[in-house]
Amino acid sequence: MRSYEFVYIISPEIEQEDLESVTDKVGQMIVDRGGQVLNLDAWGRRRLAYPIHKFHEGHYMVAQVQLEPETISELKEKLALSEEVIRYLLVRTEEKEVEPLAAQPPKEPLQEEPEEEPQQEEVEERPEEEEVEEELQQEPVEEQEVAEDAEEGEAGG
Amino acid sequence: MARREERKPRGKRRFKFRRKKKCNFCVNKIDSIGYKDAALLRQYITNRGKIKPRRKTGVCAKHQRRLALAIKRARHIALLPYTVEYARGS
Repeated sequence: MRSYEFVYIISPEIEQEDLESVTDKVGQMIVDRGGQVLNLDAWGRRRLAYPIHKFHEGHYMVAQVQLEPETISELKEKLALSEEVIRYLLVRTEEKEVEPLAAQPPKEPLQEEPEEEPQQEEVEERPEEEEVEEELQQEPVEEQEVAEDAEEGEAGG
Repeated sequence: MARREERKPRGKRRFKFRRKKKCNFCVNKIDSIGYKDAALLRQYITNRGKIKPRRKTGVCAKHQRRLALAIKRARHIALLPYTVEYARGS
C-alpha cells in the first residue's frame, strides 16, 4: 500500500447536492481495488485556468488515498470513462511533502535573536585578540636582536 | 531588468551593479514545493504563463527543478494556465 494524493475535478453540471454521490462513487472505485480514502477535502466550485471539456468551472476535490500500485492503471481507465470527473491528478506522497507554508512563520523571530548574541561575543573577544597580537609582535623582535648579536660575534671571531 | 546589460565591463568592476539574489526557497527553508499553492507558483510564471528562468528569479537549481514540476502539476489540474491565449477568446 502506498500513499497518494488524489485531486479530481468534478463537472460543473453536477449540482452541489449531488456531489456526494459522485465522491462516493469515486471512493467506491478505490475501495473496490483494495484501497482506502483517508481524507477528503472539498475546495468547492472554482474557476478553471483554461477550459476542460468546454467547462470553465469545476468542483475541486482533494483526497489522501492509500492504494496498491498495481491497481492504479485500472483505476485510471475507470476514471477516464467517468463523465463526472473531468480531470484528475494522482501523485505519490512521501513523508517529506508536508504543507510547507505552515512551517514558515515561527522561523522569523528565531532568526532575529541569534543576530544579537554574536555581537556581544565579538565585543568580548576583541580585547583578547589584541593582547595576543601584541605578544606575538614583541617576541620576534627579541629573536632578531639575539640573531644580530650572534652574527656580530661570528664576524668578530 | 537591464541589470545584465550594463555598460561594457571595465576591469574588475564588471558585476558592480548586479544584485546577488538568493533562492527564496533556501532562505525560507522550504524543502518541497506543493502544486496546490497557485498564488505562490504564480510568482514564478510570466504573464504569458511560461515558467520563469532561474536567471530572472534567482531560484537555485534544486528548487527550480521542484518548482517546475509543481507548476506542471498545477497546470494539469487547471490551477495555472498553460498559456493565456484562452483568456482572449472568452
